Amino acid sequence: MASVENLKKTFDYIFKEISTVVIGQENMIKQLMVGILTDSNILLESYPGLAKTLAVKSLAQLMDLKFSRIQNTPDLMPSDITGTYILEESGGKRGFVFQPGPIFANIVLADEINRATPKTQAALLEAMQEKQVTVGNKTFELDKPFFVLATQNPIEQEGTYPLPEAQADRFLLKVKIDYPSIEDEVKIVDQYAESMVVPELKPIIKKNSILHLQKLCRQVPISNDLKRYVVDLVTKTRTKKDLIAYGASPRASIGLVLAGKAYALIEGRKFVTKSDIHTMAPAIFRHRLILSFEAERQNMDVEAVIQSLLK
Amino acid sequence: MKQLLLALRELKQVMVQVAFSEAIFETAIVMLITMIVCVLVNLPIVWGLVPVALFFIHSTRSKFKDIHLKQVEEKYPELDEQLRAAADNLYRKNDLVEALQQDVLGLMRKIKTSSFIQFKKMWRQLVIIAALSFAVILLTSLNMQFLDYRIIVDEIKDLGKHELPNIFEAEFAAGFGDESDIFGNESLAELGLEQLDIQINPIFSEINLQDIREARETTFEEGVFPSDIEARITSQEGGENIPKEHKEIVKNYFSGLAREG
Repeated sequence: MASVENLKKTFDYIFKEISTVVIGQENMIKQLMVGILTDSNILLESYPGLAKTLAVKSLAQLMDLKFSRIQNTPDLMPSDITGTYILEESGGKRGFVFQPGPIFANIVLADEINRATPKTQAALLEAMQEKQVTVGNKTFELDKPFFVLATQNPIEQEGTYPLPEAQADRFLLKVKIDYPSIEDEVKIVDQYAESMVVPELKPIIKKNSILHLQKLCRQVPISNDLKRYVVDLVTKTRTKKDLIAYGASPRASIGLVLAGKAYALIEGRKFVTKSDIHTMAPAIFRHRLILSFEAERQNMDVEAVIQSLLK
Repeated sequence: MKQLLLALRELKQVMVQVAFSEAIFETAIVMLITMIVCVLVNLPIVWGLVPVALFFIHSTRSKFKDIHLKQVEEKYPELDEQLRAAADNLYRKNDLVEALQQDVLGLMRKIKTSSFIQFKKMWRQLVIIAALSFAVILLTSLNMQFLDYRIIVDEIKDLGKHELPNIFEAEFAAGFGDESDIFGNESLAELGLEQLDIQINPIFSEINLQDIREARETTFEEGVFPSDIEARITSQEGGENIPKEHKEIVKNYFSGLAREG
């Protein structure tokens, strides 16, 4: 086994390489890596033009993974995602052959998932959960690792079908992407306004290594005290009725521990710390909490409520 | 894994020893305070041992309960969170856990027993113990008492027995208002029959316990009374020694007076 110190060097190298393409989004890249290591899916929320697609595409290149992008629209059908049987003639014989859809990739970017109809959303979510697709009466296993990144646009709500809470719960993290700093934006302008060529990224780690890292991630030791702390934190979301109408499920407890482990591994540590949990908690809770009227009355958004929980 | 297990056991043993000694120090202070109270209220010291024993049990239990690896991590920040992570995953077998255990074992070599002893607190406790010990010795040698618990107990008992209905009875009981009955309260009259426990305070008595020597031999002359006693006897006899003729004159004089009267 490569030592954890060497692993950190590898991750640092990945982040360094990706920063040549995606400027000033280190936090998002780290959280995407957490999603990959935990074999989970991520909901991305950002305004347009913040390099979501570029980041995911770059990550896929660095990890030598197959990438596909689905632009969700209200008329998108489930078969457009999963694939369908088409009539094909070969050797004088006609027969139905399965034509795989864009879901058959390692990293799938489902852009503006809330624009798709609930039926299409359900098809995508089934693939996310089961890591398999059923078309007709045949089930197809998806290639591993399988990782879905769904984006939501926070400003346009007209003609959309927001994900129900139960379905949003299937995403491990909800990553919020902020605008880059002025210095970073100047660098972005310098890089993309002067040159038309996007830097080419070479694969750093292979698919098998990612699967090994996913296995390793679950082995990161965590103390019982910290596990209890996580469960207490999640339980608090259910008991803090003054601010939270509906709290997080036990899936959040599992997710928070797992995300903490992945973050520790990225940071080159062999154990999880409380700071790892605090770093990952907002992304875990963000889409799992429904605030009460009292929180709204106090002008508290979900971020403020999470921070109050972590105090 | 075995090495870490042994190291953790040793660490816990040290923490238990420190906690136990802390409990003993605290109990010693409580015991001395209890002794002072016992001396001041004339309570048997054996009775004072009961709260001391209870305190010792409570203190030891709470201190043992507080023994946690987090205490070690607080003293050695480089071990923060990884010591507990390694200890909690002691029996798990994978590369990461083993690597962590090796790291923790290396860091645990830096742990010193003395780091768990709070010297400042211990020094303060020792000073308090010394001061209280001197106070106990002083109070016992001077036999100082603020009150006697037996008197209080008796008073409480009497309060229950003799409930006085009004102020006149209270006055009567105190011996005022009726001089014909000098005993007043019946309970006071009965005192004469009861055994009196008298304690002689050595500090206020004229007996010098330090001055110990052989008894002095004295020879007494039998039949010889001191001269003043003899003089008194003589004067009493003198009063009676009146000649017969004079007696007759005196008798007649008084008889005459009686008749005239």
